[in-house]
Amino acid sequence: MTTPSSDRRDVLKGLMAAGLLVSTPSWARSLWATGDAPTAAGAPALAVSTLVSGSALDGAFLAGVNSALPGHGATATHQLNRLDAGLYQQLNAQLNDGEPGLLVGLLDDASAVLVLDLLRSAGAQVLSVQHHQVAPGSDAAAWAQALGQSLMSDRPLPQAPQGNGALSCVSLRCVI
Amino acid sequence: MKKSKYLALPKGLSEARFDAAVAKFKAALGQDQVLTSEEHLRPYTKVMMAVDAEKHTPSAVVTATSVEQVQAVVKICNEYKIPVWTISTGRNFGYGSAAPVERGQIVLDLKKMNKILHIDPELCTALVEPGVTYQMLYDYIEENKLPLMLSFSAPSAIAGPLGNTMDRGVGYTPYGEHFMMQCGMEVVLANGDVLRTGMGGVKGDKAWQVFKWGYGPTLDGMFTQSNYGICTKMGFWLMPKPPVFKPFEIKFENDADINDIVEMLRPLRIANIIPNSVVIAGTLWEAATCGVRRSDYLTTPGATPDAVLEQIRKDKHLGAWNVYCALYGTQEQVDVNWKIVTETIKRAGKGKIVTQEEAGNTQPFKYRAQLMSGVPNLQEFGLYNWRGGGGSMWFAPVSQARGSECDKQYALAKKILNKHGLDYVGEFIVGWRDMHHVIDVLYDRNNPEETQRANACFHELLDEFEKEGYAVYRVNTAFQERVAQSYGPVKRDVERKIKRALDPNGILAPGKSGIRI
Repeated sequence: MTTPSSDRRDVLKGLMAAGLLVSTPSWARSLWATGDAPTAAGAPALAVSTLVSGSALDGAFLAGVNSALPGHGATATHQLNRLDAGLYQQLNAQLNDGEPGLLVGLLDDASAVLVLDLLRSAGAQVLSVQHHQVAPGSDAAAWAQALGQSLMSDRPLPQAPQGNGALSCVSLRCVI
Repeated sequence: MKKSKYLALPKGLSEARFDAAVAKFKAALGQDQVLTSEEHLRPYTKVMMAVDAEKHTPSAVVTATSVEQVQAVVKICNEYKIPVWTISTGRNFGYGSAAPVERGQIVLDLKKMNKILHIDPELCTALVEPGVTYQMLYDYIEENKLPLMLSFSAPSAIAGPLGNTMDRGVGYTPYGEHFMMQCGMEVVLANGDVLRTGMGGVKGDKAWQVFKWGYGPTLDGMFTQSNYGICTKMGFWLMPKPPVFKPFEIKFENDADINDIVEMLRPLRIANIIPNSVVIAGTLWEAATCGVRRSDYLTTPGATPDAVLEQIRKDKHLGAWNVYCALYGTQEQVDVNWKIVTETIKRAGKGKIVTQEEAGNTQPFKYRAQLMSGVPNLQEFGLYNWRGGGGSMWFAPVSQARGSECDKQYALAKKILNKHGLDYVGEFIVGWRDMHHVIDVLYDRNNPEETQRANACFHELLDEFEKEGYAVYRVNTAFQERVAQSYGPVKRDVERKIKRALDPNGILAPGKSGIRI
């Protein structure tokens, strides 16, 4: 079992491996400071946003993400349900507000197509995009939770449970 | 072999030469405007076509913020013989996304050239840059309370008028034939010259956005679906917002009704009784856009059986064919035309009319009404959830607007799609005299076997339709060379001669629409 601080170090290692500590120095420095001294008063928080699209796995996924960053409170979550154009406008505004951050998501195919394109136009660095076929059942929630944790720490993604009636979805991880 | 630091290299160019070119791009555009990292390029490599994404991987992405920067890009491309694939918003999805037609081309992304240069609410014209989206235009019109209405394709909220028109896309209002409404272009040629079409070359002229033809040969059309220049400004006409808008749907129960539908609607369309591009949508298109997934009904692979289609119709109150039209104008005009429409349908003895009052806020009526009245939305992206897996290729043959033609095309398409284990997810868009038959070939791109089937299916659709005298009006980048062959050797030869004359180094999007030097 990993501790909160080791999870945080995993996040930093993952970002370093992706070269992001070099290419996005301002917020990377914030991350480093946060990772080194997670309890230090006034340490800048890691800006993490999550993206979900109304699947039954949303709750488990968000729990996994949040568990990888304890102490930081809730992440900002975009519920991209029902292909509502207004919700995508809000996301687009955030992507282009000049504030750096980490985005992780578990989305249906339609939402993933849209989000990836908004990310492209916003100049995001897409670290990972992965398609999954997830069989429904009790294992699915555990998988979604593990997926959320893995995306936060850049660990290999867990294998989705296989079986009949699998649901198609896409996970992604990127920095803006 | 030493691994390159680039995801891909332009054909025939060494890494050292490309290094030098990248340095020049950075000097001309700024460090931040030249992207080569895998993380930045990844979203530019995403394709929905049933081919290996490697075939469409760019070597770099450069962004320009001005016409001068576009000129600088083509100058460097000429110097180093680097092919450049230009995108405006890059959001044509099932027609190729933002990825280049060939591996190693650099992408010139014009997203940052996103100024609405001019909107004239009296003459109802607009002049925009490539990065302007329909949503931006819609917001501008709403904020300024302009009495104007937009026409756009279904990815309305995020796509843009310049890219859609240059690709000869269509919309759903009376101004739905977008290239017909285009008026004046500014184009950067391969040698860096800046051409303004129509009246745009006349010093002091004010008619650039109102008179299309100018003097001598009219050149605008040759820059659409081609690689003869980079469009940096485009003018187009906007529809005055009508005082009354009356959308309606006509539901038909049987597949075989398509013949009668077209015969009934064509006279109304040609006479402008129904002035907009009428849509005749099949069951699965409707189902997907109101949130139905194949997995809701089936867990087995393959084509969806007719019995399941019938069940979906019952469950979701959908027709075999669902016709969407609208009337526009004053109350008096709409009343007169509504009487003609309802009497025509009554005489036909089939078809159930659904008005906006009856449909309320239900989908898919709501998004269809929005598309017909120029309100952007994203509802049609629901198509990508029908089967899932991110595979989508538009197959879009054109025909005469005759019932017999539609009947024949529908039967042929469904037979071929089902043979390959895929579904007919299609609609007909009725132009004045033509029919765009738009079919979304949806498949699971993450399943190699299904991807192979989708590729074979698309080839067979092109081949079998061609045998019957049909060709597509537009196609994704993986099949552009194949479709160019359908239009015959003389056309290709003329296109090549024009290409050689305008772009002797062949730097502008070689392979676009099958055109090369």
